[in-house]
Amino acid sequence: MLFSGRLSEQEVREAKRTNRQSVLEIILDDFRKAFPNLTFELQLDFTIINAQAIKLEDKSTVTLYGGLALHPRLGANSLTFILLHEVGHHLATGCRSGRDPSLACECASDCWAATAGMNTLLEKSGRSLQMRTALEELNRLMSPIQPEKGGYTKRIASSACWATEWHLRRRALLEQAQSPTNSGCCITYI
Amino acid sequence: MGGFINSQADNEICEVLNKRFSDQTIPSGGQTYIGALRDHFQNKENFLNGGHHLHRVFHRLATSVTGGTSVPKVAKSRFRWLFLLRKNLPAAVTTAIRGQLTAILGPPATHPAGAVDYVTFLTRHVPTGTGTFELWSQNSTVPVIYTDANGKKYCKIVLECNTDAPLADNPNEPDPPTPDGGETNITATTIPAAKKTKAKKSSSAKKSSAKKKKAAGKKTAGKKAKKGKSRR
Repeated sequence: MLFSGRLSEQEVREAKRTNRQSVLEIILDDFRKAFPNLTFELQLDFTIINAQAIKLEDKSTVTLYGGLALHPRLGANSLTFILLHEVGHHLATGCRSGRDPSLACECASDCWAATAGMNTLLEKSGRSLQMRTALEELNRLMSPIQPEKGGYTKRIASSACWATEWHLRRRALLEQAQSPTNSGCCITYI
Repeated sequence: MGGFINSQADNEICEVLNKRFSDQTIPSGGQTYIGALRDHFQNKENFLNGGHHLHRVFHRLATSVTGGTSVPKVAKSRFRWLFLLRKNLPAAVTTAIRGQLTAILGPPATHPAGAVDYVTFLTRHVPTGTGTFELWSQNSTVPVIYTDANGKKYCKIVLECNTDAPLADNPNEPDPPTPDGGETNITATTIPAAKKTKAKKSSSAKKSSAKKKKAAGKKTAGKKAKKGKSRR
């Protein structure tokens, strides 16, 4: 988080001129209805382009930061998917996050968001998620951050996490691929 | 941390600390990483007392895991992180970090955190009471103990950032940080990746790789990076 990218001041100002904040509140209200045991926070004063799930003592929190919440390339579908992914960190089973074993790994969270998560959201709040639209919106944001390296096409293996590369992650979401079945953590950065 | 978009530098910092404070067994010996660290802290060197600087302690802990490679790998990010630890953390945060880690690495008779199986390190952005960086919660020097799904006890060390600004740059940051007095070697736990690969290769493998190198000439930096990644 300390090294996350940030939205420019101009982009923040422009987003605040539109009705984005009311859209965000409506989306968050739906999430509060669907997942009442979680705390949802909107931190518009932080312009980092990110969102976070964290569990401290017994409080499970999902935080959406201003850089993502107000991002001009994102719409209601991608914001819904981002929030579902963060909820997935708290509610998905399967492989664990290396950062915090009380949270699910990125791949397990994605998998949960694209299956059980979106179904629960629809059932409890009536909000539906158009996954293709969400991924198209996110692709405009993620592709420059995590460009496809090309050369060959990796398989989405059932034993390895796909979440460090956006193009693999996008494909897994479209295919609703199962996340790895590891009991521990399946992702490493060093 | 559960961040939607991965940041390589954040990931490297948290992961190297998580490993150093983990219950994984050290490849070269029977001790766990945290067990070896507790042994070092209790019997050889209290590296969390006032005579030691946090940026230097971080560097030593990180390189004891990587076998020498500095963390984060990208120099600019590393300088910013070391500069934060050296100069820009409020004194109350430094005290809280020393306090929580001392409880974790000290004997369980002093604090029950001394018996936890492992520790995880996180960061988050959140408005704080002091209006600056804090260690959760409210710069407490006492860590909270959690129990995971397998019944293991662990602590979370959470650095909270209140400011909405990138970490300050310092291109002249001493790298590696200047040694503190009284340092003793923290067990080097991992052979650097390049050496490990070399040592594992049989003589025939060496020959074939030398032939390949000759035939292919120099690889591009991109290909090398990809090869490294696929090995992980």
